[in-house]
Amino acid sequence: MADFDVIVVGAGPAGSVASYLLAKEGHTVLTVERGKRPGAKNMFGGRLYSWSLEKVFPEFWKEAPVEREVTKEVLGFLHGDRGLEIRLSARPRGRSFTLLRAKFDQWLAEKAEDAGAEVISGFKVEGPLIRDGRVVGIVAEGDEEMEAEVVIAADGALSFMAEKAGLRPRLSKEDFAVGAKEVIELPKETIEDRFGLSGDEGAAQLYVGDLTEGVVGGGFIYTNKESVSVGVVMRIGSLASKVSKISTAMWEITEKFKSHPLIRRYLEGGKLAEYSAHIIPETQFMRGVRLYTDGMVVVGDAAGFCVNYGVTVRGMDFAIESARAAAEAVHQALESGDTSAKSLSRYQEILSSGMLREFEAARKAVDLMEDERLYTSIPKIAVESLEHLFSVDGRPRESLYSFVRKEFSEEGISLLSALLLGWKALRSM
Amino acid sequence: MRVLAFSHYVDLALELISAGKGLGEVSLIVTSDQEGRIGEIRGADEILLCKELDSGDQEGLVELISGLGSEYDVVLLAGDRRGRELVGQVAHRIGASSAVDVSSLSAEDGKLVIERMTFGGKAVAVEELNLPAVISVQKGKFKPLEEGEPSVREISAPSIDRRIEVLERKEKPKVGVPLDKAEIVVAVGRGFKKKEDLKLAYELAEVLGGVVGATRPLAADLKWMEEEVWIGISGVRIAPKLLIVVGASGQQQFAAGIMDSKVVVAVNTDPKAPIFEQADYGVVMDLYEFLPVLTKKLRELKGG
Amino acid sequence: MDIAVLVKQSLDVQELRVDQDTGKIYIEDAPTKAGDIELNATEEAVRLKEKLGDKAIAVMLSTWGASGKRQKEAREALTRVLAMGLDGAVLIMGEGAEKGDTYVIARALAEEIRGKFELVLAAEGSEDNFSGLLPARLAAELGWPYVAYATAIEVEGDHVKVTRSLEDFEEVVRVKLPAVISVTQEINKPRVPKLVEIVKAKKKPLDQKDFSPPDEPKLAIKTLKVPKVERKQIVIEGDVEEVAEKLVQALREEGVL
Repeated sequence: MADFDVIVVGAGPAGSVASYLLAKEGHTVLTVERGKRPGAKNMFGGRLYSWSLEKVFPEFWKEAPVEREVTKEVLGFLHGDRGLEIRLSARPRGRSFTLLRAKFDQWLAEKAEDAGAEVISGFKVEGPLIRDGRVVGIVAEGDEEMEAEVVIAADGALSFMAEKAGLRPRLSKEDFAVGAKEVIELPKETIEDRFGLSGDEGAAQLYVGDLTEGVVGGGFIYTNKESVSVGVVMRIGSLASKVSKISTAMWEITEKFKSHPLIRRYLEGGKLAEYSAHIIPETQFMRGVRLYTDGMVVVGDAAGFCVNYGVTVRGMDFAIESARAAAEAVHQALESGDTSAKSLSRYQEILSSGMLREFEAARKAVDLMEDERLYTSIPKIAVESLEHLFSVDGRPRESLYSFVRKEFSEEGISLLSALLLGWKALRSM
Repeated sequence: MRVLAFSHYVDLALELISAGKGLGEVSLIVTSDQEGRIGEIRGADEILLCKELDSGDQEGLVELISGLGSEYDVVLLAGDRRGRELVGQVAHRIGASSAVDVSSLSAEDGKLVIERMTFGGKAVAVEELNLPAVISVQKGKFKPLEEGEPSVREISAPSIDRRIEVLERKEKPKVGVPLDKAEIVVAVGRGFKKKEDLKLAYELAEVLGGVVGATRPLAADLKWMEEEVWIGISGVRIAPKLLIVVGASGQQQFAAGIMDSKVVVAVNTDPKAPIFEQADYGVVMDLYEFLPVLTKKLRELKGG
Repeated sequence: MDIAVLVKQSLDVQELRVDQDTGKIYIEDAPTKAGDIELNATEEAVRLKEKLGDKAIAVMLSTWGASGKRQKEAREALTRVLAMGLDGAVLIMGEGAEKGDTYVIARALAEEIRGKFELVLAAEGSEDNFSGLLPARLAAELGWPYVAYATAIEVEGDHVKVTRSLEDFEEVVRVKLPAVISVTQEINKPRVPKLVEIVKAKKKPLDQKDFSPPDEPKLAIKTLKVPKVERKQIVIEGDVEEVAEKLVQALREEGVL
């Protein structure tokens, strides 16, 4: 008999939700987390769209350590020390919350623990334990073997579990982006004042422009209760190859972003509480991933359920939904006593009838975001056109139309391709 | 206040006298092996000479000091290992309060107010101790007094039922200038990829006329260097006029040990390493690239 | 011969945040853990008991109150040492325990130890306070001999032979049992428990007892201050040659060369 019904590798949102649901069904669950404690390593994902977690814990925000509910969305263009912000003040359908992962992940892991899962942190899992072509457990650090009827790989973007089980190809650095994030503490009142918020309202602000020097990427600011998360995300492939150089570059770009006049005013007087640089998965590799095999399923970032919009990353809601689907399939497999790939394929079926459609749509948006002009020409044109519109110096002025046309041609963008870019944008939304 | 003092090291005893005089009358215990140095002792009111006891006898010392201690308000011991070993035992025997590694002390409203580092050097605790109090005093915080010849009184050692027997005592090899007295220190950390590479640090130290110290991982875990050169709160605390930290991130343990340095230079590839907050001058560069150039420049300078 | 290992619930000082400007120290937010040197003490206890075939138990007295968070952390810290091979644990914690000083705590621990153990192993200092007072006081309370800074321990009948490291020399002493011994980090390399041992450790007996300090403490922490270290924090920029040149120049101006 196996040591556990289920071993979950990783206690991020996906791992903890799967652990919780399966432990609640009465299965014996062991959850192994590599970080010192759940959330310790997950600095990213400062914003959670609530639709998927609501299915597991209705109105979870009343109990979970969320920071603020996002009610203000800002899109910004930066060019030189000038900038343009478009602000949407509304409560869109579907709630979303800003949160600090260290606290939030721990809360979710405790939920799993309370439901009966054994959660062990600070322990590295080397890979799946494979016998006769079937995953029968895990190999932990020190070559220790531990058996389970089903293994759930929730070990994040770099998932060695999925790779070693042959469920996804070896990844190269082009498959990743890097992100740097700082948490800057500010008094509650100051945050509400500067971002125009009241009560538990929060803002999510995204910026593109020349700060990334043509590299696909951008900056973000999220408001927490008494701090703001600020940082940048960039394609790794476009950066230098040495990792130490990348971290230096990330740090410099973050500093540049923070010192932009438009951004600086949000952060003034704040106190740096933490800094982290991280690897973020790109969506492309989703194409080569299989979600299940005999005795194992892959969930969350490990399965590539993460959409990188260039300037921001959306993954937690997909991760949670995939974990819910996986838990359902694994539960049925355990009940039927058949944990083969065929039985676990139910996981994919559940996803296909639901989340995958939303996920595909989100990915379409990314195709647009991959257009490098979005990070170079468009911010410049936007900023300069408006600057032109508002410039009054007594001299005769060119019409806005001809100014914009000139700008486009300077940037080498034909009106036709500008239209195409617009069309793609519309279609993806 | 009446103060009783003792240290295994006469040099540290002189610092204790200085610390104690700020509180009141000081009596210093001198053991048989220290008798020859009585002439050097200044500033104490009284010397209690115990010819029947050697300072190597910790059990005998606990008994002697605990016996005498109840007549005093404050017992001062030194911050070395054997001094610290005595504090808790003596304090408990006489029902006293206690503190170790005290950096400042004063009497206030019939209480002893002391300061000491805590939380790995992140905080200083200001503590109010009820009298009697037994404390150990941090090395190098009090300057020996030059005036005042003490009277000498002989005392006898209490007889005890001995449970600890010293079988062997082996001198440790001396490591040149001790780290805590060095004027210039080059501190090395995990940024060095292998033991042989430490040569770069030794060369730099040599041209500067300094010594090399290490972070905990290098001394205690990797054993690349002697335990005696481990800088940190549980290792050696240093106070050089120039400290060059190479390839160390600036972990709390270490940070607390270098706090008293006058000028600190940090060399590290990671611009976000906490060591840069603890440094006057930061160099964000690969040590393998930077050290040889710095050593060369200094050599030219020293060479004339 | 049964062995008790003293494990303190220490603040993880690496993760303790202090604010240089306001002087605020975020003690409540900081996680706690078993100290690194206590893992050495645990390792030594497990090695001794494996050789002698006796029991070794962790004894923890928590001084951070009894909130849910601290209880959970205390249990996690004990799970860590139990997984290394200890047979069980005693956890003494309660509201108001933070008022207890080493005098009171030593007395409470002695209650747990007297008559049950012949050897107590501890760390030379705890992770957060590093005073080393507690094992010394405990020895005095029990009336047992105390030897600190052990780098090797051997049991010889009703005695232990202890090698200890002092500033200028190494000493080998023979100590009559029962005794209290504190160890340094050099004594051994703590084993890393296997996953299965951690799983099993959660099922080992853990005896939780309530504690509230009876007497007025002898010591009162009046305040905690954040030490101000004023550093210039100048980052020197340029290529290697330039940086070396500028640094040498700066150090000459400081008068330290």
